[in-house]
Amino acid sequence: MLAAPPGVKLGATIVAAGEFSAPYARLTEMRRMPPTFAGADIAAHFLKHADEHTIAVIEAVRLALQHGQLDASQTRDWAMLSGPRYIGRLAAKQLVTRFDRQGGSSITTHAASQYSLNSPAAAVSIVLGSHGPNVGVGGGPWGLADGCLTALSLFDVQAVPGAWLLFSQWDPEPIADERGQPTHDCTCHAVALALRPGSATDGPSLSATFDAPGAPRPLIRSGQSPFDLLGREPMVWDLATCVRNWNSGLPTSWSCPLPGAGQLDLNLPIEAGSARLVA
Amino acid sequence: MEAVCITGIGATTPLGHSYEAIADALIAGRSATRLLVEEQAGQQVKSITSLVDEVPLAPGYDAAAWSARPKLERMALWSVGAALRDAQLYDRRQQLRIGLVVGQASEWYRHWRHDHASGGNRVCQPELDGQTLASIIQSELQIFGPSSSVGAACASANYAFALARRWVELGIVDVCIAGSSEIACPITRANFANLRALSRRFDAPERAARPFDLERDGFVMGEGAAMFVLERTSSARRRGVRNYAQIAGFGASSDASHMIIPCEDPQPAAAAMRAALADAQVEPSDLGYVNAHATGTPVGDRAEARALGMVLGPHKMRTPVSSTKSMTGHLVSAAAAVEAIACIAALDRQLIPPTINLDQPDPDCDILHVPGRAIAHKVDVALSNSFGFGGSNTSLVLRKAC
Repeated sequence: MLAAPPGVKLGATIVAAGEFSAPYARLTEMRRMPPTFAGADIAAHFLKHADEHTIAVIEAVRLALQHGQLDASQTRDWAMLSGPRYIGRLAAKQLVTRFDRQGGSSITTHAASQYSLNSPAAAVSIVLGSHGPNVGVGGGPWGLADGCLTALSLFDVQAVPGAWLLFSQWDPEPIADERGQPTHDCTCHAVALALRPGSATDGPSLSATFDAPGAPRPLIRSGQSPFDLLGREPMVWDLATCVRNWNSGLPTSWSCPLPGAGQLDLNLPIEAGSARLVA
Repeated sequence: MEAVCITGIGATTPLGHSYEAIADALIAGRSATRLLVEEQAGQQVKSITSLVDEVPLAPGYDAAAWSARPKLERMALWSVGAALRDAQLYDRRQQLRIGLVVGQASEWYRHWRHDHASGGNRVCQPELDGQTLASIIQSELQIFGPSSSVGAACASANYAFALARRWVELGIVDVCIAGSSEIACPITRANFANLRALSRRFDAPERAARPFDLERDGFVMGEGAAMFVLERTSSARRRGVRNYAQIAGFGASSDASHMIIPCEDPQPAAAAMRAALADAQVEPSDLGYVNAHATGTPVGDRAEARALGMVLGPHKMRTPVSSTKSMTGHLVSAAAAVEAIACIAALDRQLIPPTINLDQPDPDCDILHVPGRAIAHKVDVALSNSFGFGGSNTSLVLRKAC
């Protein structure tokens, strides 16, 4: 095999970031009153059938635009990548219960379109009127690393001017009753990172550094998961804390292993004269 | 960048369980669609499907343990193992950095549904959701490297190809496996049936999938898996293994229009095709075959034909277009993976697989059809379109191996 040069690195500049957390009840209210923001157009019923992940992510995008002083129209041709962790869990309980009791005729026509991995990305592309690619990524354990790696790789696959990287996760994971309502308190966390290709040396960035081809690597034994070889899994609320700090004027950084490949680094410094410092 | 090619294919579909078997069936114009009558809440319900009746037993597995696994896993494990064997890498797999990109539209829902149907309640037991399909494949086949699950509904597998190609180009893996596995579960079929997106030609199920036909009335949901080993062309040459085709280009766009309804504006789909052609550095005149997304829905087929007309321009009536969904049914997130096999068959055999059941082409789908029977045609470059819910459009360009 051809050996790669050691230390291959992919990077992107973070031009804006937003985070949003809300309990189920708040998301239900937002479903009835979608947010409005400059340059975007959301019909009043647009979120009627949306998963809670999608509702939270749209608000995170709105806040990222606000913090980054960007207009939605500036991200028209951007790619959208969404990594909703276990999207559709609440609805799935209702779907399987209904199907058992009433058969296929009781199944909503919105399940496939609203509870898929790319559903939040697709919804944001519609809201922002963006014609760049829209794709879902990850969606389960270690999905955060999965999403970051895919976003960074995608810049090389498609010549897009930017990408929205969107993550969401419940804490704790909801357990639904038969109507698809959570049986306990749970909060959905969402993060939106606005990325441009290529990382500035000392600026806000997301990067992946890959192991050299000859680097030692573990053998996966029979019955062992690749996740067993890693440490604590990074969660969306870890990333949300970084974004919250950064938007409050505090420099922050974050790293995590890139399963089977190397390491991810998020660096959010506060530059001199930055609006964040003034704020 | 050095070219990246396909050196191994593993698949299990309603048309067969190997590249050769599937290619033979597609070229022969064989239909895999049939009537299914099942009981739902005490009532007999009819649907037309194309299902994998029996997933072959993967070498090294006990038959009872194998059949106890969810079908989605069995299809994926069979296909990845077969692809590695086909690429002559199976015995060396633990020495290599092997990437894995799996196209998955709604992976967790599939797991929860399967578990529920088996009497479980995993949807309410989040602590049990510890393994992704990708991690199960890595664990079972003991392969190590980066992995990703990508989902863009029916366009998922084309994203898997694009990402895998990039990882090989970058050298962060020695080889990368890309593909998808999909099951036609009853709830998903009910979702599409309630949307009136599925054909209801119950009296002639083998003739139900009829893309581009004037009397098309929806698609037939299918299932299956196809996985591919991607590696650098120089590596394939050095190893002396079969080079099926080069992954030459990829393009993607969004309609930004509606979560479900296909966009009537052909511009976004055309943009994806143009981006793929530009990425592959080929002109529309170089295309010898287009495998259309065309599922058999009235709106979608018409919109794609218009987009093809825009992209192909004066070459429109010289470039054969077919929809192999007429034979396989629509494999949703695995559709693009199985349709890559159709493109490889066209490149390999210089024969265009037909659109069967195309008795009366819709005048609004004014393109060069290949109705009923395969035709001989020079094909050096093929384009495969796959468009998904949420307005996710993708196109993949495959080039003949040299």
